[in-house]
Amino acid sequence: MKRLLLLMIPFLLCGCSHDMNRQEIDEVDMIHVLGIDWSGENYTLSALYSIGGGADAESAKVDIIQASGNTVYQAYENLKLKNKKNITLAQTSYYLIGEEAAKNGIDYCLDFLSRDETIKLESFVYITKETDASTVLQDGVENELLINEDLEALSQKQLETLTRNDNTILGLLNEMEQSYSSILIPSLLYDEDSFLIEGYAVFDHLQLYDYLDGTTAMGVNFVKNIVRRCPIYISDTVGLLVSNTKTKLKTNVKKGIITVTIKIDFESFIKEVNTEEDIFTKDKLDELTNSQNNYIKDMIDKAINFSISSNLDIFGIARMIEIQNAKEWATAEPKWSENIQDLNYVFDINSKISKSFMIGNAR
Amino acid sequence: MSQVINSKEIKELFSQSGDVLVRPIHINHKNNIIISVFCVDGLVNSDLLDQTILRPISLDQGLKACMDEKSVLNYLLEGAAYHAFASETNDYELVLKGVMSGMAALLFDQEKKALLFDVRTFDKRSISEPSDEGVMKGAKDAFIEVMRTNTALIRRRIRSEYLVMEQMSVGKVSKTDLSIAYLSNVADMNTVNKLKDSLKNIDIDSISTPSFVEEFIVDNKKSIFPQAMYTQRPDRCCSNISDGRIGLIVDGIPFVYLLPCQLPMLMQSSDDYANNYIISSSLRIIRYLAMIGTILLPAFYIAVTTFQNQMLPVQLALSIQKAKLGVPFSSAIEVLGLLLAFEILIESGLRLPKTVGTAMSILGGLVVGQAAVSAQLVSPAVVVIVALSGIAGFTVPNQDLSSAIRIIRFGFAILASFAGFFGLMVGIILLVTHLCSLDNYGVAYLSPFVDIESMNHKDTLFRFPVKYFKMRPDGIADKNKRKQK
Repeated sequence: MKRLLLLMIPFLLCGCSHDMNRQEIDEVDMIHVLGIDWSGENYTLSALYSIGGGADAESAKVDIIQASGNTVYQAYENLKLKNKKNITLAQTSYYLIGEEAAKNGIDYCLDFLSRDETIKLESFVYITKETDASTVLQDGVENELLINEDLEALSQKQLETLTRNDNTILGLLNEMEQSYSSILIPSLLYDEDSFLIEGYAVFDHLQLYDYLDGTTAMGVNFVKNIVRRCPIYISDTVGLLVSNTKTKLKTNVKKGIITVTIKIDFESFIKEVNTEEDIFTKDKLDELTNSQNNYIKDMIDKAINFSISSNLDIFGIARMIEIQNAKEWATAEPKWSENIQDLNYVFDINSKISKSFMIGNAR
Repeated sequence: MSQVINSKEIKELFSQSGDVLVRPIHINHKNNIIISVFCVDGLVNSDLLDQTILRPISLDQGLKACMDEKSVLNYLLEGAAYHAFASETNDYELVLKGVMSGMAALLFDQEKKALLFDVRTFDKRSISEPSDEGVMKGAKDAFIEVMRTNTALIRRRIRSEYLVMEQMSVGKVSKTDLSIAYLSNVADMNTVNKLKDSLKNIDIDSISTPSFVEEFIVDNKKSIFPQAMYTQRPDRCCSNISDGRIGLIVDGIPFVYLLPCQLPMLMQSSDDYANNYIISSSLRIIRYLAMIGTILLPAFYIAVTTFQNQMLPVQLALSIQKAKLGVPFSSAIEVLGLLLAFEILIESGLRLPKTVGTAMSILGGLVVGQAAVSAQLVSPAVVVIVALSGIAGFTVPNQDLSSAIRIIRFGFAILASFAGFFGLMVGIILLVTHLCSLDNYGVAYLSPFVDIESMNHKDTLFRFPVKYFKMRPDGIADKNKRKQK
């Protein structure tokens, strides 16, 4: 029996090797960035891949290939047909979704990807604001930009201000399951051969609804407790760097009124002083502390105002109520979209100004 | 019916052997008492033989007064022969065996008896440093090919009255001496008896190489993994004997086997106990990681470059892709071919003299390797992977285990080339199952890792400070399980 089993293993493995994506690494073109656009009739995929391999910047050359289809999957299959070598999404780290494709529905773009076992679930998704993904990629190639490296630098930069990047495929697929909250994906502004993340693209029922500007987006980040550091500027005289933020959201449902308590604790460092006045007195520091609390509150207020005006749950409060007030959620759930505008927000912001790392008084 | 001792027959038996001496000595002409000296030239110390046996026989007046062979025999035994190790026997086989192993016999034909004197001498290597288990801090002596010297080296370190050295001989023709060393107040006697039974059942002509013994004393003969640990170091041998293990010393083999053997033992180095425990533990962990690396690295490379390249970071994937461009072979062929070349290089290095072997390594490793990369026969990445795997394999302290691992990694590479990580996982499952199924003299090969009840992990992955070595290993010692308070 033992021998039979040992003999069977090679045969079984031989059988398996036929359908296990067997392809030599040098026989495939690895797509680094995939752009997805919707033209009103069909989807266009723009794939950016390296020519001749190589990880060093000098030898790395990129090319772009495009194909269209009625669906993203069809476009991908056409892309495969058009390319000389086989292509793979196994090394695709960035997916750019054009504004039109985002308006048509993010689910159409991500469904094919979610079913492909080779993709990296930690790949980042961005929305190209006011333009197509193909335009961004083509411009980049024409201007000899290494877009994949620029995007990598951008995602690294994101982590300087945020504790985590939520715009991964896995993160988005998870968010898509929360039907009561809207999805937020960083929007990419392409201008004069450079990229900039400018706030979030906000989705309503998986379709692009609007964009949040940088300040409002930071307000959302504060509520979501993902801020690592954030510069704030108080009255043109003092610049501070906020860090060590800790946000706790608490929901309370009483007599049908939903109250959301946002408790934020943070520290800040004085980074710049443009005044002759001594700001390191107790009174002045207290005043500065109040000012920075109000500054943060204003940012969050902006986000709340957007939420109320758009009637979208951009903070994921629905999920919070479901967890913290499961019983009340059962009654609130059917008319949740009406409740968003009636949510009662309570702030509890505490902060302190820590050591300013002042080497000497320049003034 | 056994043969009787007779000098004429013995002389006839060895008539064609020039080195065997059967010489008659007249003791008393009047009574015609003639005895014979029977020895092998080169195996006996002729000075000792002359001074302690032949000289007294020629000069002692008391002997001449003896009227018969019996009184001569008794007279010699009672002190006429100036020799400490003398024994009387009428066993023909024993006489032959004794003389063939270097003793001298005085044959008494009428009495059909013989007196055996231990006047052995032969050229032997002096005790030198161990070639395979050298340490910076620690003893520099090593076992040699002479069993008695080896038993003395053990006895010097364990001065306990409980140290037993049971002697046996194995091999129908070679009649090789071997000795089983154990502490009678610690060792499991079932293990001792089982080993003795195994040795008694050896029915071969001669013990000329280690595997002639090894293959008979291990429980799982079909396994590639070593199940009898060997050591050249007396200190290591003694430490294991004091733990309750059994040492097997074979004449002609310059190391001692230690039984029962478990995998963690094979990963321990003598340096582990010479260095600080933190350093030793760190090095031991590195050794375990290197062992896993050497088995899995080639297979992992095949799997990621042929099946699951999404597991590689983008930059690494691109580097490998670039390195592989233009190479006509698949990753699997590249890796297997290079592994084979590596084995050929090792094998040829062993067969050649040391000086040529070094040149051979440089030629094979550097020149041919570089040329193969330049000619795009293999990619540089594969050279790095195989070299890393090969070097990692040499961190395993036990040569037998290292060789087993070298063979196993071929199996893993083949499995990975069929089915990527799925194949790799099949290989891991088969390997772990096999290792778990191994049992060595009643002790699991993976003990104490697989021993649920045992908490004795203080000298496995990590080397704890010596003060924590309170108990002897589980399943090894039968009595006196506590080593220290």
